[in-house]
Amino acid sequence: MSTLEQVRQGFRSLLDQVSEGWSHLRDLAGNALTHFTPARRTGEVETVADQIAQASPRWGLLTTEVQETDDEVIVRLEAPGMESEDFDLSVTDGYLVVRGEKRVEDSRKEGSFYIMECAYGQFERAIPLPAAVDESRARARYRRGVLTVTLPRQQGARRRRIKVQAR
Amino acid sequence: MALVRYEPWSMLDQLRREVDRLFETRLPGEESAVVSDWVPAVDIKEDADRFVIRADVPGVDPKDIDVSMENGVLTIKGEKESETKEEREGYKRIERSRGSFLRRFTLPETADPERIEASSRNGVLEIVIPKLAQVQPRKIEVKQ
Repeated sequence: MSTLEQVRQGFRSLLDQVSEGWSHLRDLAGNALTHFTPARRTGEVETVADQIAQASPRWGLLTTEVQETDDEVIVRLEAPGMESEDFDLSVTDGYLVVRGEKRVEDSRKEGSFYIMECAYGQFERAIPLPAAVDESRARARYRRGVLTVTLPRQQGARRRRIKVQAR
Repeated sequence: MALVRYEPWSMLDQLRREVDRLFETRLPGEESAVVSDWVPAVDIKEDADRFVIRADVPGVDPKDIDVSMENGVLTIKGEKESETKEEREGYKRIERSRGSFLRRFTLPETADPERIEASSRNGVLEIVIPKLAQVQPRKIEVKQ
């Protein structure tokens, strides 16, 4: 095998790996990569917390899982470091829309950051729901950094199991 | 006011780290020599008298977190239990990682391993590592 052929093969397999890695990344990250915008508070003095939020990464992972049972859709969202009153939830066109703001807890003025991986600021994520839900009966709970939203299915959208009769 | 970012290429670096973290996530059934299933994101800050590490560990029971210090290396490890372990069916979307996590940091010699404190709130683990008394900046008075 000529050297040129080896280089060509190596390059091809590298490209394959990159595209495989990319699809793997898309599968895993999907829509979890969420943009965080530092809150703009006009007419106020910029605080240390504001500066930290400005310097923090603009992108963070807000990972979810959606579970469907016979009469409920359960959405869990990992959003550590929030307060329960900082969430704003709504259901629109088959999506659960989660808006919120992750605030900087630190108020110490001095000090310097060595590593900043956590994103701060306002975010929004829309999670497609697998079934029609009755949002008026929805419940939400925030515990240990995980937001759990339980959405009862609409009457007509309830799943009925159909038993196959054996003859 | 000194809030200094360590890396100037923040966005590229952030992307690279996120990608690295995603690939560190093991798929179910995938054979791997990696000791942990996922890696928590952290902020590390140095104040005048202490170091503060904040790690995102959503869904982890505080009693399942193990923080230890050995030979200047701080280890955070633990396990995320699935909340609904029994009923694994009906999942339409799974992005959350499960299983064990591990992250290690080398602390400078100025850190006091005896007085480390850890607490957990709303899925954020906060570890405060005070500096040794003698290395805290001391103001020296100039005598007349």
